Amino acid sequence: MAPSATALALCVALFLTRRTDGEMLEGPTDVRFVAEIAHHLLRWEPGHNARSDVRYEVEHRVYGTNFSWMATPNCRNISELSCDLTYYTLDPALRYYARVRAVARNHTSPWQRTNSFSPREASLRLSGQSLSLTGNTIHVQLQLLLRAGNLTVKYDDVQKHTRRYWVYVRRAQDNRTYKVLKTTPEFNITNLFWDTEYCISVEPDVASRRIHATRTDEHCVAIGGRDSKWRGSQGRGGLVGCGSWGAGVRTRVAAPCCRCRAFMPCALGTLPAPSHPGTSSLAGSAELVLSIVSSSFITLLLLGLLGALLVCTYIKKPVRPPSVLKSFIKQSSLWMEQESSSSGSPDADPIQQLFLCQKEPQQDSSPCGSAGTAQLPLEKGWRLPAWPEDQLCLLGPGAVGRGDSSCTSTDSGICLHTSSSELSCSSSPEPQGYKRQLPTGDDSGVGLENICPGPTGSSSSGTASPAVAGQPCGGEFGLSPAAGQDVQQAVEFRGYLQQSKGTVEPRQDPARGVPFSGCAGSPQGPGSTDIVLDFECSELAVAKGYLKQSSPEHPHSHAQDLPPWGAPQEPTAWDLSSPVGPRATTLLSYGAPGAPLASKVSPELLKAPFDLSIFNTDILETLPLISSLSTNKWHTLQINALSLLNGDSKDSRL
Amino acid sequence: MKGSNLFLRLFSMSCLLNLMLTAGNKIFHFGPCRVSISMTEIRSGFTAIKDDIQARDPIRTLSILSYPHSLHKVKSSDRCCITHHLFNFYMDKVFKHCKTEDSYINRKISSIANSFLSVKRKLEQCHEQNKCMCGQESTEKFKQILVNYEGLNVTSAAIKSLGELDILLDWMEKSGIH
Repeated sequence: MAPSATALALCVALFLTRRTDGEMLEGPTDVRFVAEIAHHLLRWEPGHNARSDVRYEVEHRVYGTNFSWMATPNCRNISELSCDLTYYTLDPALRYYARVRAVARNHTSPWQRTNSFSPREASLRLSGQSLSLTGNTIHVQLQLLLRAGNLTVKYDDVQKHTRRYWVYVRRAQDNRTYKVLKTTPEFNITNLFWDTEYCISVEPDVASRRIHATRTDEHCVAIGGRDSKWRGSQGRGGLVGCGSWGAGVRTRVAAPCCRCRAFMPCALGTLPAPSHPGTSSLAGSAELVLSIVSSSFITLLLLGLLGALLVCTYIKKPVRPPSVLKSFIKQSSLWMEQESSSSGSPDADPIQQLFLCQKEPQQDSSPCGSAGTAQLPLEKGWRLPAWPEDQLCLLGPGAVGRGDSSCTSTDSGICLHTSSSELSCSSSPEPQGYKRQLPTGDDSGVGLENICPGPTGSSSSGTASPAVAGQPCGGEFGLSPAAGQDVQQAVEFRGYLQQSKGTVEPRQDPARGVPFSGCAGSPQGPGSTDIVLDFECSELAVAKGYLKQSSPEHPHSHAQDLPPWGAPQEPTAWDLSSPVGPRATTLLSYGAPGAPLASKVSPELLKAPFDLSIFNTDILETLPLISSLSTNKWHTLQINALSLLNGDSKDSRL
Repeated sequence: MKGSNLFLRLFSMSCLLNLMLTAGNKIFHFGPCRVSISMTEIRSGFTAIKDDIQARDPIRTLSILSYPHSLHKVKSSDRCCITHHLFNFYMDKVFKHCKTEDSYINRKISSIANSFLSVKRKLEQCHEQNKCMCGQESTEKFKQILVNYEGLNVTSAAIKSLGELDILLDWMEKSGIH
């Protein structure tokens, strides 16, 4: 313990003594060259804790030579904080270093070295300029000889290349300053205003470097009247005395002016009246205007090109229906013709009809729009006409054609919203995405996907895209075809959807995976699955009220359930309960608009998976309209459904 | 869309044209060879790192480019040859060995190297067109430069050569601009 303690104490003592005794001086800090041409100044700052008696010494050397550091004679033991090394650093082609250290009594600080320095890095300056006046032209001669003690340094020895000069011409009366670029040491400034005083200063510049420069002192000259006989004298002497005019000269009076007799009348009275004050424009204004015009022209041109580019980018070509749909379109058009002919279709525009249909279902929030209350009284007896599959799909427009008075009525009407003639729900199972006529709304959330009960895909297995929620005819959304299928198996035809009860719980059947099982959510509970609207939502609505579902599997055709529509009630192929799958399953039979239609009902009518989810409450509300189903009403139902779709898709582009 | 493509091309061309017009390139004459060099760009890049790079070079008694006035008094006909050799030297032996730990400096070095690359290509074209004939004197001078370079270890030599870039640029200005 004791030895260690002793050692420790010794160490501490040594340390302290070293600190205090052989104290190294702190060297100068921030040692740098602050140089301008022919005046290369080395500067530094004293170190911390610098004492008052500190002295400094300076050394320098040339880079790349064998010579070591050389002392600077006139910077030895100085107390100032700067040293002029111009004399030792004259060669512009060489690189120099300098170093400084502090000396105090017997102690010296370590050397502090600068970075490299070359005379070409020194900031630019000129001695001055000499002006002479001829008429309204000023002749300027720059003075490039710089003096450093008894040295003479030529500016153009230091900066040999790409020299140029910025000439600042200031008009004394209003202080407007013009900047002119010149590349020679002698030049003229022409086209000045008569009877005006100008002050000129020059700033040197080197094009290939970014280097600091200092402007020369201003020299002023006054231009007399055009008719005056005053003529500038040559040489520099004339103006030197007047260099200090400054603002005072403006008045052109005072005795000092008389010294500048070469240019100024000493007495105001003798000045001729100003003549032609505005004839000549200041040099450079024409250039300024030209540059402004050209730059604005170029800018406009670029903007125009950019605008055209944007326009071309954003103009969309009309979207052509996919070829897959073309056949369906044809079919739908055919169907439409048929419909119109058969029903003496009203002139109403299908689309308008759609809107009409749409009105109703506002009240009920139940997804299947069974509109709670007045819903579907027809639960049982309603029967949708059996539509052939393609007819079904085309119902939209066709339905309209039928005089969808029902749509306009408060009935929800099952507006089978087949996208007007877009889809032809041909038996081909392919789901056809149908476009809502109204908008070419591809981007609308209502991806009414194909209404046709396609067996395939649209059945995004009950994943009715939320966008299509409320889409009556979302073929794609198809009522969870998969689910539907399951359901179908399980579901017996219940006759009319409970929806008629009006309280259709949405999402009755989570198992179905129908997001929207609202439609299916008939009060019947599981039975509501029947109602799985496999077909267009309109059908759902229909199903709610009056659709008689007769699934192919379920041979029970509840025709009796259908309301006495009078028309031959043929079970439609709509399989409310079952999605795509076996088309034959459900046939919503309701008042068929016409026998032929019914005949066309094919089991696979509802192939298109039809997602109940697309039914929003609005649609469900239309279900009450089912009650008014009749052949005509069938159309209206369609229309309603379609309109519901429209309405639902308010937020979508529809 | 054809229309938009066309406009896009027009637009980009006009922008490029604008940029080119405003670029500060100068034409250098090394003998019969005319080369366009953006001296301002190279200098500004070098000035940003000059102090740092030169501080990394502790050897002040030896210079690679300016011993003894290697680049002085080069005949006009030899200037292209020496310039060509020097640019090859910098591209092959200097820039690639000058990796520092500071990414800013590395970026600046890369930009200088890019500018040098384009100049080197033009000089090679001149060489292929027989505009860069090498005389005896220029060959000797370049050999001296190589000797100076090889007298140090690779990294130190590279850093030193990079620090002497201003000497090279000054010389180029002196000999290339009439």
